[in-house]
Amino acid sequence: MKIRRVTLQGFFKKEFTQIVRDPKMLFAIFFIPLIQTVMFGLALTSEVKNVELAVLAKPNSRVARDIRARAQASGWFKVLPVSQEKDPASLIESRRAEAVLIAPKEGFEKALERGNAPIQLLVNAINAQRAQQVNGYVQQIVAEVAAERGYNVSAGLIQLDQRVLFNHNLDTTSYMIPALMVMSTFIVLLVVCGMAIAKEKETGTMEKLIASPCTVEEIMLGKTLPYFVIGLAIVGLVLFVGVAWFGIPFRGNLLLVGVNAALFALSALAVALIISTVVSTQQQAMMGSMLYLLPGILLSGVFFPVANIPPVFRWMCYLNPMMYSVVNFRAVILKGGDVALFWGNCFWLAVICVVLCALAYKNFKSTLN
Amino acid sequence: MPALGVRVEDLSKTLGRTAALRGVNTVFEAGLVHGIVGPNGAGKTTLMRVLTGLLHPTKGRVEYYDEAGPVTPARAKYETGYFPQEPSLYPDLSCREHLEFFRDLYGLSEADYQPRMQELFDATGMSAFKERPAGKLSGGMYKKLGLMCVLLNRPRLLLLDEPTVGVDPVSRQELWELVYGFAGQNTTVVLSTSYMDEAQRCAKVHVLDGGFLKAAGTPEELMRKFQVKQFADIFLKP
Repeated sequence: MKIRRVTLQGFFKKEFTQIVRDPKMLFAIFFIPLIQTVMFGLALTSEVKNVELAVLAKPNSRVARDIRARAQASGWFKVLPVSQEKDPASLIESRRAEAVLIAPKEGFEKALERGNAPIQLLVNAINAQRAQQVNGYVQQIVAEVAAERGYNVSAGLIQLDQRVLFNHNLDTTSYMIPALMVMSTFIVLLVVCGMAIAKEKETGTMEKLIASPCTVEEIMLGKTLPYFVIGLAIVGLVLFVGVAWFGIPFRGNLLLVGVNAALFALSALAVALIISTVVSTQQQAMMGSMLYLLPGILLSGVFFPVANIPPVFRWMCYLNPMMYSVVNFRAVILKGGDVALFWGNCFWLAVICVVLCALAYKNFKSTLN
Repeated sequence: MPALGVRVEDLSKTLGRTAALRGVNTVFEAGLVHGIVGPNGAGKTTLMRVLTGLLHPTKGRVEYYDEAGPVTPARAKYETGYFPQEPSLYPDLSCREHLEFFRDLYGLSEADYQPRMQELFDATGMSAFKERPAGKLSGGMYKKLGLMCVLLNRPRLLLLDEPTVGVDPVSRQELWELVYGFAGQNTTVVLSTSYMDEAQRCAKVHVLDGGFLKAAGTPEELMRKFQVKQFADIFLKP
């Protein structure tokens, strides 16, 4: 196995020159991760917000006034200026409200005095998950107002002293950006590196490289290592935007981020190499990348917890390098690191990476030969 | 460094279900300009690709040698320059950047590179286009740049697969002058062509048809063998 430094330098220079001169490539490498970060940071959030809430009670009810004020201030609700309605369900049927909190005839005050408040909440539960969250929010607000006004509502109820660790505001952005560091980088590396190799095959320049004195190892490393550097740059970019713009907490250390990033970037490049060995055109490379990415992302824990996936399919998650990287980034960035978890995941990530690299090397070598 | 010769023994190559080469035996003597001639589908490109090492023979052997004796295929690969039928280049890289990239692929030192680069630009008359991207070169200049990339390593064996296809007559002449300028004691040239006038300028011609080597020799020897007055009539003879 002969690998010359000067040859790798030549590849680096050529690849970077080509990337810099191709606006589409630059866009794919840097703007797509940025756009994804902004989208997930600002727009795509699983938090329930903008719930139209009507609080129906006697006009002079102080508790109702406090509930409305607290609900409005929470940012979760838009409180409707309605206090009386003959048919409260019609508010939901007519889509004027998503939730209606109804005081009993004797009023909120009397209900809360009795402890086990028979207060009614109507919720539009077409989206069951959203309805559950709305229910939780309303209960929380009512309990807070009751406590503030000195009512004892603990009788017959379990009082939870809840403390949220590592993501105090239950902020989706803080949860998503560490995962995005993996997802965006994986997408870019797989697509861009796979297409770059396919392009050499499609245009015939690969033949020139094979016929040159370069060894298979030099061509393989020369075509992938520049993208390894780009992968690390994307991880850094998304992390920077997450911390500087979205204010996510960074409690870990950069070295651990670097180790995790290096391992999953190598895995991504190995997958790109494997795909490139079975395709002949850039279009096929793109299709191949998408075929891998779709299940790869869904089975990585980026959007759905791996624990929720049935055991029949869960084994696929454990073969997915993205899954270990996502868990590690979330642990390092939000929790500050968990030695056993981090290095355990790194071990399995390294095993997968070595297997993928060996497979990529074997395929690439046999294809070139 | 002396030129490399190639000995081909009982060479067969099957591509899919097609027998592209069938038991070819011939010798490409060192230091000469060899032509491989034949109609389309005769197996010229397959033979060139086997000589380059891009394809492995299905049967038979390819041996490289020089004055000192046999040369290993790995060593021969380093000493061989291959100019494919479509000399694919990177359209967004300039002529200078192409030569710099190939300098790094060949592992040439700056001391070796600078005079060779200048010599090639002078010989091709492309000094004025050093910074022009390959994608914006004319057809003839594009081929010249492809050849320059190959010649930069001073190959001891130069394989040219139909180098003048699609090139205007002036550029064709210039390409020939460039090739002949580098051929000789230090470089063996093997070129495939469909043009009989080009083949006639070669020291030795290898005639392929349907994957078989029909004959090999000087143009005069072949004309006698095929009993034709014009070299171009070889393939017209039933």
